[in-house]
Amino acid sequence: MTDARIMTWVGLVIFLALVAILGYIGSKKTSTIADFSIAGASLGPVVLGLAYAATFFSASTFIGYTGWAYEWGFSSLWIFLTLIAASPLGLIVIAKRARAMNITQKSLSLPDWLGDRYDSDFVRVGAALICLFNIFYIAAQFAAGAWIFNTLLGLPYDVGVVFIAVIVVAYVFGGGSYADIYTDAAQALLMVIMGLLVFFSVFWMFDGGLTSAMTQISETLGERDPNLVAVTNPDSIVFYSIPAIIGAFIIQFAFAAQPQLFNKVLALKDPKDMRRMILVYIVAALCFLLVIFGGLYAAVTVDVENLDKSLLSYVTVAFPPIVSAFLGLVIIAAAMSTTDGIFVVMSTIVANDIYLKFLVRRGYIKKSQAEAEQTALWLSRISVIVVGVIASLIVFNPPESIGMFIWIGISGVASGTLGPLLASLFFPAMATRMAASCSLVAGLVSYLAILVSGAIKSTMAAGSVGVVIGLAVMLAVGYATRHHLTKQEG
Amino acid sequence: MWVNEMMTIWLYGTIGALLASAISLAIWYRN
Repeated sequence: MTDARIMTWVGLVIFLALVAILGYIGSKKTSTIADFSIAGASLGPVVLGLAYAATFFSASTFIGYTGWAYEWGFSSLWIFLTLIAASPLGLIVIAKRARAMNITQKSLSLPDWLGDRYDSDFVRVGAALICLFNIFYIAAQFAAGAWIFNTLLGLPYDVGVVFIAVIVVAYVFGGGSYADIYTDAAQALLMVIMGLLVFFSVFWMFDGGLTSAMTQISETLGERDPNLVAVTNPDSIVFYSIPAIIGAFIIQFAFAAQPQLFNKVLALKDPKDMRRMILVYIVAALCFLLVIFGGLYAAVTVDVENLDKSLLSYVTVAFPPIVSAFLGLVIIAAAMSTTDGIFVVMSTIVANDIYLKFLVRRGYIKKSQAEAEQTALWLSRISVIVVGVIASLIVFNPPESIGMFIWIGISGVASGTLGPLLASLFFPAMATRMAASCSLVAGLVSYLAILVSGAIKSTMAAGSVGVVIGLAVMLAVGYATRHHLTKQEG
Repeated sequence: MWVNEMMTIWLYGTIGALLASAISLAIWYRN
């Protein structure tokens, strides 16, 4: 067994022990469905800021985005800019009002929040069903985790899928969002260290300071292919043109309202702490994103046949074996911290949004309030297992592109839900039930049409068109039906 | 220009984005 492999095993055992302890602490605190979904709205800004960051950035940041930089060069830095500019802005715009309104509304998830806000079962259940799209997102993270287990530990891929699925299901099953958020905060710290290590390796891997090192890289890549140092690269699958870049900005803005992130906004105990939570998130995000430079460094130091391996190969060259082992753990942590948040959302959707707030409340299922609450908590836990099994089955044959898979989920959810969300926060006079329902359908259908027809190469840009159409329909129908706004809705 | 056109955009873009976030937080999230 190589040194790196032994160290990875040792690190993994320590890491899993930590996760188990945090999961156990979480399980002690979970007694109601509100505890399970939004940690009883009881957590502080630093833990939540870190958890938000760890949930936002997944294994795709460390494997996928560095691979883009390796293959398509400097134009891939647009992903850095979209993530550091548009995503915090989205959070800043949405978080304050959404959290403030939830003081009286007391909703447990994004579909629940929208359903309560519009007092509409169609919006609640429609948004809930749209959010189930994110099973692809979970599946992609399982694939990434399994790939790391395979590369670093030599475990067969399918064993790796089962391994990571069992770990995440176990701690979310027990500890719900408490476990999700505590483990995320720990995982974020690992991701921060890795981002900084990779970025600053420039000082010993290249001659001179940052400017001279980056100039060397730029010259070497420019000689290989001028597109590698250009602002857009026609070969790239994401940043091939200015409209594609604008699309990426729009979809990253929308990303901030993804349900697994939205529930962290709702989990904050004191809404006055929102500013600190967002600041912690931005600083953590900046540190994670510096890892993308690793792809550029890799482009001039190593040669890999698979883009996804570029960062790992670079780290093997630039650092002692213990850092390769650490990177493996970081990627697993990044995959887990995103997956667990989506798990919590999916089970909340089934147990709260569909079962409790729709089936029981409308009398389709007859139960006393106390009985129904108990059943909901169990239903949320059983959903965790069911989602884990389905997601594992989806990636038992490894997907061609992990990045593509996650955007199917994110873009689908954003297209259907952003219009109703933004209108309810900023244009309450036009936020009618009819407009929300139309926006939900129009955003989703237009996105799916673009996705299936393949009219737009970048899935991010395709999602942004869905988002813009959803918003336009929301405002147009909202304006036309503004006089029908009932007292209850306004 | 710093290094190349994209690195220059990256540098100023990042600084600008961080400033914009800080300013909007300071104004809009004043307690």
